[in-house]
Order: sequence, then C-alpha cells, then structure tokens
Amino acid sequence: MTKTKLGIYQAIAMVVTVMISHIILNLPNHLLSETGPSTILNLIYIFVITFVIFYAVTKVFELFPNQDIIDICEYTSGKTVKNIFSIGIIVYLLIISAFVIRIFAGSLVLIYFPNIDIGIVILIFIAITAILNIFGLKTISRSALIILPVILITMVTIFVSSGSDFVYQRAFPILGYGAYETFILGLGNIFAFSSLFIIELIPPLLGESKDLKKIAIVSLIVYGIYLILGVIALLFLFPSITEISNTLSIYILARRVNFGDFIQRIDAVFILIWIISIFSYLSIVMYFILNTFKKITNIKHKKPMVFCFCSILFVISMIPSNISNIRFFENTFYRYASIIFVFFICSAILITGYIKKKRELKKGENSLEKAS
Amino acid sequence: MYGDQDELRVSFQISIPSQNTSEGGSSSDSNDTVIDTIDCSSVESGISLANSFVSKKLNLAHCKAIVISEEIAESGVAEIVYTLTNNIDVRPDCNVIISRSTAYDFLSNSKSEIESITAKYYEIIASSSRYTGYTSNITLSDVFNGIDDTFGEASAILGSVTESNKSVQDLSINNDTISGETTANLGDSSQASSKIDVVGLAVFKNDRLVRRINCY
Repeated sequence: MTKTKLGIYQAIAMVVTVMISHIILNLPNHLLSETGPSTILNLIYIFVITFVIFYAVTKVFELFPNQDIIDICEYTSGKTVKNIFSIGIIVYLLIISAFVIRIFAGSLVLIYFPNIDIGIVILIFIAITAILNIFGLKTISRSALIILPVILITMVTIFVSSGSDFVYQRAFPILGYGAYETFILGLGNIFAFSSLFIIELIPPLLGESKDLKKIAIVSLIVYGIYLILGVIALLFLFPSITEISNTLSIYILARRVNFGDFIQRIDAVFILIWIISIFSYLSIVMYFILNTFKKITNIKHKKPMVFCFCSILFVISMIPSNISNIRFFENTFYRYASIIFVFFICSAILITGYIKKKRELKKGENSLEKAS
Repeated sequence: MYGDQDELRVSFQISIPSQNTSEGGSSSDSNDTVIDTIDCSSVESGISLANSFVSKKLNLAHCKAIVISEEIAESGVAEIVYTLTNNIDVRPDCNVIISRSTAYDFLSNSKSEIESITAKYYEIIASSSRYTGYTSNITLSDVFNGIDDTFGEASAILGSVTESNKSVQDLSINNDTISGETTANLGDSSQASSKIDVVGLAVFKNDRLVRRINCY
C-alpha cells in the first residue's frame, strides 16, 4: 500500500486551517486586550519576527529532508529525550485542541442551543473528528482544502461589510499604551503564531520536502493578513471590545453583517462554516497526535488509537467547569505554554540539530579531503 | 421608569404567537401584542422574572426597539446598554428610543394601522429617517460605542406620546400640528387616540441624557 503524500496546496490548507481557527475563536480579542490600539503595529512587528524565525526553521529542515522535529530531536538527544518530547507534543496538542473545542462548543451552546448539554455538542465534534481520522490523511487534507477558501471568503465578507462602520480614530494613539508595552511586553503576542508549529510536524507527509519553505511562507503570510484584518475590524468597530466579548469576537462582527434590507442575519451561515472549519481543525490536530504517538510506540496501525485519543480529548474538554476557567486557560496556559514550547523548546532542538548536522557534514568533508 | 419598590419597571411588548400559527406567520409578524410590565432591580432580572410567568421563553432575537424613559436616561443608561449588549439574543442593530413619557406609555400607544407587522412597524419608524431626516436610525451598537468612545458622545432616537382627540375616519397618515409639534397620526382612527412621534434626537454626555434635539 502506498503512503499518502501531501501536495503543496493540501499542506498549506492544513496549516492555515489550524492557524485560522484561532482567529475564529477569541484570538484577536486577546491581542487587543494586551496591546490596545497599538495591536496593528505590534502584529506587524511580531509578524516580521515570526517570519524570520520560521524562515530559519525551514533552513534547518533543508538539512533534514523528510524528517520532522521528532526525528531531529532523536538525532540530537537520543530516544529517551525524543519520547519525552513526543509526549510533550501530544499533551500540548491535546490540551490546546480540547480547549478550542470547549470554547467553540460553549459559544455554540450560548448562541443557538441553550437547552442542549455542552457535552453532547462536544461529543458530536469529537465523533466527526474520529470519523475523519479513520478515513485518513487524504480525507483530512482534502476537506481542509475545500473548507479553507470558504472560511477566508467569510472573513473577507465580514471585514468588507463592517467597513462602512469603521471609526479610524480608534487606531490612535498609534503606540497604544506606550512603546515599551508595544515592542517589549507586546512580544508576548507572538503566541498568536504558535500554531505554525504544525509546520515542524509536516515534512514526512510532503511529497516534495523542498516545498516546506513555500508552505511555511505562504501559510504565514495568509494567516498574518487575516489576523491583522480581524484585529483591524474589531479595533475599528468597538471602543472597548474586552468589556463586551464573552463569546466569539468574530461572531460579534458577523452579527453586524447586513446587505441592504434583503440579506440580513446571515451570521447563522457563518457559524455553519466555522463549525465545519473546527471539524477540520480537530481532525488535523488529531492526525498529528496519532502520528506522534505512532512514532513513540512504533505501532503498525494507528486507527484503533483514534477512539482512545478522542476519549481523552473529550475528557479534557469537559474539565473546565465554567467560562472563567476557560478565560484563565486562554490568558495563562495557551499564551505562555505556546511561547515556551514552540518558540523556546522547539527552537532549541532545531538549533542543536542544525549545529550537530553542520559539524557532521564538516567532518565528512574533512575526511573526504584527507582521503583524496 | 422607576418602579414603586424596585429600581426599574421593565415592559415587554410581545407579539401574540397564537394569533399567527394559523396564518403561518412568525410571532414577530403580528399586529396583536400584549404588554407585560415587571418591577425589578435590573434589566436582566426583569427578563428572568418575565420568563417565570410568561408561558413561553422570551427570545429577544427579534427585538426591534429598546425604549428607555427620559427619567432613567437622565440618571444614566450605561448599565442597561451594557446588559443588553452582552445579551447574546439582542442584536446590535436593534434601535434605541428615548421616550419623553414612560416606556410603557410609549409602547402601549405605538399602534400602527397601516403596518400590520409590529416588528416591521418599529423598523420603519427608525428607518424613516432616511427620507424624512427628522431623526436618525440609531442602534444599540451606536449607543454602546457612543458611551464608550473617547472622542464622541452617544445619541438616541427621541420619541414621545402625544394626545389627539381628532377622529380620523380613513387610514391615511395625517400630518397634524399639535402644540407646535408635527406628529404622524398612527393611533386609533375611530376614537380619541394616543399617538407617538419619533422626531429628534436625545443627546448624551457619557451615559446621561443632557439635551433633546427636535426637528424645528
């Protein structure tokens, strides 16, 4: 049986779907609450930093064709560290996706299904995640490829339709709470790009390993543009969004979308599209969780494990008892764990791998010279 | 307005759903309405109390207008506006009307004979500003933004109830001048009728009503 390999568009769709799902949740709102009116400037600054970091990451992966960060970890530090790191990846992805599903299901219950238990809604999401993972990578990547353009269109629609109500003065003062808060403390907003971490797990799935750089750059640019658009829309429409938003901030924008007197209240359509995008997000993340687990245990078939991890996902997502627990998670774990895990631990592994590989190559060259 | 014992008196004008089921329309497509009034400590508790004695759950998703009495507006509307903005049911395009009389009086007098759909009626009286220029189509999100903005102030639609003893036999809209105010006759056509007029703007400083702008 031949292994399914991802094309460049499928890979981009998978990465961007994972990243953009965080915009659908409350990410722009969190960024605004940290840096206020200077968020646009802050995001451009952070985008440049992230671009440099991930450009460097793709350079490292050029030395390790068809290998992901777990393979690089094994290469640099051995099997034990690899296993610990892999468990870290699984825990990180499980917790993040569990809270994503919880936040989204909670908002869905709040908006449309006040009489339905949140557990049932989460169960539906997890059931579909399991089904998609049973069908495999081809189904997951293709569904991401289909849904992504639709998500992007909805976001542009929201942005364009709310454009007439923009109050541009809200961008001022341009430095928000101050230069120090924007450029030094605001560096913490780099967590917004942490979902690009998926890039480091994707190389073995690619048909052409040299495509990784293109995938990373395109995904980052697309995500960066949409994140900045989301922040602009929220900033220009609401004077103090943090005070009103207990639900999906982008939904609050979607509620304002009207096209004349004929097309009104189309937020239900947007919600439907976002539900599908969350299905896609969960299935992609679950795929990488299973893939990582397979790497640790060397199991032949990972499909039976789908139900185990889906059950764990369900349990974790049911842990927060109320909205304040979720907010606490968003403001602490998601922010700091993402920065530590993605930008420190993973970078340290890649830097170590790069140095070791370079030394080996140099040694090889020297020995060849000696031999000649 | 302030209730006898509690801080607020909240009135709900609700379409009677049973009148519509046979006709196949939704509850908001009704001319028959009932007004329930509750004395309560806050808008949120008013909604909860209303749910406790109305046989169906109140859904504010089709709420077209929020009427606040002048008396409350003068003492500050921030709490009410924040509560309603945070309520996921209430849509941001719902109009805010500051009534010179009590909200109950305004609602009980706002009966249209030429527009059979109650929800549509409220939509029209606000959007009529597009061709009359006598007021502005101000929504809940506009008021919320106005209250919170650092470079602007809030305003709302100004509404009032006017009395007329004139009997009107036909259903045409009469533009009468009563006590120097132009009013659209939207009241009962066969007997002494109360009417509402929606002309002018209520102007706020922070969240308190400070001025009324009429159209003359």
